[in-house]
Amino acid sequence: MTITRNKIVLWLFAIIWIILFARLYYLSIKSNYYYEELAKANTEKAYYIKPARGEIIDSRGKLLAMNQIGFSVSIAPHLDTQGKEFKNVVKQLIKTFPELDKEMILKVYKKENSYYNHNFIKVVNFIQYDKMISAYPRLSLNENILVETENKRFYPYSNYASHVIGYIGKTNEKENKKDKIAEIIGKTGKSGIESYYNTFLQGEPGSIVSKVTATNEEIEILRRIPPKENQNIVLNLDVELQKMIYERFGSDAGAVVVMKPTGEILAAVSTPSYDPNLFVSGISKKDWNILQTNLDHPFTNKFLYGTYPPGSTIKMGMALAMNEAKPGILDISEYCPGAIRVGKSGQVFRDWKSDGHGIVNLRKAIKESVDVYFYKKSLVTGVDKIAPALKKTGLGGPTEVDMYGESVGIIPDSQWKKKRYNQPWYPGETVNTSIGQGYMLVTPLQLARYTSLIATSNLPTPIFASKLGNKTIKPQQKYVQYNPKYLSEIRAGMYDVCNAPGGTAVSIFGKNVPIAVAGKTGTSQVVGISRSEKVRMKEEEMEYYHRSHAWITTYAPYGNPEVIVTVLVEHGGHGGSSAGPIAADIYRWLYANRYFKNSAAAAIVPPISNTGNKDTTVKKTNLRVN
Amino acid sequence: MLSWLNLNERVFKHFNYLLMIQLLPIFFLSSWLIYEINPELFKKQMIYYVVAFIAFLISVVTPWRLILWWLMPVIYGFNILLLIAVDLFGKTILGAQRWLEIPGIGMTIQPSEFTKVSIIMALAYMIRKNPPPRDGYGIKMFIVFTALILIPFVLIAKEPDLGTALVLLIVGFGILFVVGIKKQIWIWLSIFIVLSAPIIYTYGLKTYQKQRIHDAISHPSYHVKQALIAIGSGGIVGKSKEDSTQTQMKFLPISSSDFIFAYLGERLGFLGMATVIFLYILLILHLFYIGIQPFTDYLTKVFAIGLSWLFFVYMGVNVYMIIGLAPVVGIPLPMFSHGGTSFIIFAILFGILQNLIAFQSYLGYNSDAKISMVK
Repeated sequence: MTITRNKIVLWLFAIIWIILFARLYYLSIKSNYYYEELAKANTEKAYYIKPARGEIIDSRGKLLAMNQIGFSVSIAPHLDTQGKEFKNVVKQLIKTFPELDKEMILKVYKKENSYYNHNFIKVVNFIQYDKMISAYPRLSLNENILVETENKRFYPYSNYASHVIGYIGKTNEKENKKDKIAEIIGKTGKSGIESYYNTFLQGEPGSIVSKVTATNEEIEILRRIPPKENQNIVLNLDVELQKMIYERFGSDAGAVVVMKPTGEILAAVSTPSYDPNLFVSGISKKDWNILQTNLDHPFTNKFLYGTYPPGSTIKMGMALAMNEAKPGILDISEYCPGAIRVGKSGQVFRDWKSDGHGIVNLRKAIKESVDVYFYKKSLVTGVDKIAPALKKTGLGGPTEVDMYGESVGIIPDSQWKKKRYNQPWYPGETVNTSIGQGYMLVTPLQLARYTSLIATSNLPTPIFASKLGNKTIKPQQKYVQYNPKYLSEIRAGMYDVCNAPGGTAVSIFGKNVPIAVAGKTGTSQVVGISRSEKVRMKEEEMEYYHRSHAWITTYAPYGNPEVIVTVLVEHGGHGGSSAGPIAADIYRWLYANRYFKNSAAAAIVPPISNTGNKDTTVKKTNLRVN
Repeated sequence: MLSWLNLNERVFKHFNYLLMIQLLPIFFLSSWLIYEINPELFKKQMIYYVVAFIAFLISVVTPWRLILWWLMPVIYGFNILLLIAVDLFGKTILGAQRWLEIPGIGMTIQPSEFTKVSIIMALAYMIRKNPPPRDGYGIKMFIVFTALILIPFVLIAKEPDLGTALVLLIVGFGILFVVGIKKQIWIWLSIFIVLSAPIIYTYGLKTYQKQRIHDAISHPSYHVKQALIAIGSGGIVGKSKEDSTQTQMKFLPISSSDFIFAYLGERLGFLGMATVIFLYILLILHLFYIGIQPFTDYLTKVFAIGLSWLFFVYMGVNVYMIIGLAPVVGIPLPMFSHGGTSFIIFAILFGILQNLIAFQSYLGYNSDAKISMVK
């Protein structure tokens, strides 16, 4: 009996001790490495050295985004906020910088001050260099105040290029999750170049690894890793051109893209704009509300995200697409009586010129922007053959520009309509589409790229950046095969638009600009034009927000394209009257600023072959009256 | 001169020197580690050693066998009164009402610490007075013993100090088990505990106690995490004092008292920990061996077995909680952790045991000598 009891007790002891030894063995021998790492992690604390963000520079070396040097002010930790010491510090700060908010300092201090924090607490984020210089000697005497240098992003050209450069702001939770470095820095590019090239611009933080105790007291510095910083970006942009265009717009809303045929963007303007400096340290509610409620949408990047019906500017691409849909169709001239009827219902489609253009060939169709020419041909080819061919011009797809948030626009066809509205396609819609109205939508940047294709046969990838640090970015283009005969006729038609009598923009260009410009005007309807009206209403008579948008897209010099200029004026009425003069001013400015390699040659117009028109057969199509 | 204390050669002859020698390496390691953690604490610890040594000597020469018949009820009763006083006017520290302030001198005492002595003493006296029958005690005596154990248990558990209360419960019933209770009683008791455990867990425990039990099983607390890191990073032979960052940089909380075993692990590694546990095992087995000797009288038996159980439970619970196998309760590593009260109490218990061993066969010394022939 006794023996058994003693045995039971001894067995109990043994079991408990065996488990104990097994656990100790597991902890200190099997898991030694794991716990060693944990012990090390306990004692090491890394402080990051924030990298200086790269600057953004325009093609002539002007700073578009820079780091302003100033100072931050920190207060020693573990001070009693009710005590004399702390009150003296705040008193001295307020006396030196009367604009500081006493409550704010107290609030920040209380929030950051804790038993575990042994660092000075930053209570003022930024004070201008010149303001601090005179105050520094006195402040530095107070051992509870720490003044450190601080960077602040500054955009010297404020409104002029805000849609291109973008701005930086405090990171939000989503950005912190996505980018660890941005989380460390606490600021990240929110839009434009600042956002697209954020990874490059922000660089990589360095760090100071130091040994600390359980209460975070620093004992010694173990190692120091310098940050990767000052990674500058040079843009193709000329900010003076940008500024000229922005100011030229005045109170009008719109967008401009000035681009080389290679894709290098010289200017990209979206008006109205905003001051990106407002966002750097958080925008005030008042400023936000003013910008947010503006009907002209200053936040919308109109050259990138704004989509508009291309109107008559589509006609060059439309002609090429029709030829691809039905080869040889461009050889047939059309008769324009001023209007046609379409479909069983006999819906009337009018030309912009009510008495018609007579017999129209391709060149004349571009020059005079003859709607009926395209109406008729589109009914022959049908929309479903046009759309894929038109997409080859870069419309309806991404431009792959180095900026986030571009719209792809819409090149409609029957399938698209089925998917979107679950409705069949009507022939009248084909007619509408043929002159760039209806469902078709493009962005100004897409249209500039498309114009470059017409001018050079190359479809460029628009690009803002020219150099990332020391690395030069080579622009990319894609050759697109078109029949040169039609291309040169179209180009000639575009030349006529700006130079020949009867061209839609001849009064603006012609002798008024020092170089030979070729282009095309366009009007994109905002409100559908009523069919019952015999004559289209004059744009000037419409309410402002019902007026059509005005387009002009051009290139120059005519013989050897060096620049593409695409202008959109929202609610600007006819393209020729409001967008044209802006484009003309841009060319004059470019000419004055020696943008054309051979200024003298630029004005000379090479002879235009007219061979394509000789054997043109005229096909008279009368109004179909049911 | 000391003849009235009966300090003759017989005492020195029967004194268990081995038991005392076994404790020396434990003291040595303990004071060395405490010195490394904080020399100030080491100084204090040395004072405790001196006080404990004096208490030990007094216990050795106190004629326990002569005075137990009146001392036991006095000590036990006084202890119960103190525990009730704690309940009524106790000082609350960190949410637990465990301390009594002695008026005037600003010293606090923790009466639950003395309960170790009172319970063992009470059981020893009662068992000696009523030796167990051959097949163990019956239900009547069992109820008496249980009452002796449960009264202080309930008072201490109420403080709340469930850790100490449970230790006393285990030690008390552990002694009874070795001394002998009828088998049927244990069986019925087991069934009762198994059935009532869920009910006690649901209604008897406070939320923080459940949380501790829960944490011990799933995710360890900050204390335990740091202790695991300390033990785990020690490896086989441990790290130098400077490299023992867990302790030196104060990541390990209360490293000198309840969590000293973790510093031992960090500083001396697996071998150091194994050595210390081995020393405890030897001590526990030695005490147990003394307790189960045939012809040992019941006083010696109960004190030896009681001390054996005390060391077993204290060491087991302390190390288990540090290695994350038991909830964190305020149980020190016996005679190793920095601290005065617990150390002195153990010294007194050893003193009593040595006294009992030395005078075991000294018939004249035993006032109501009744040599038990029960094996």
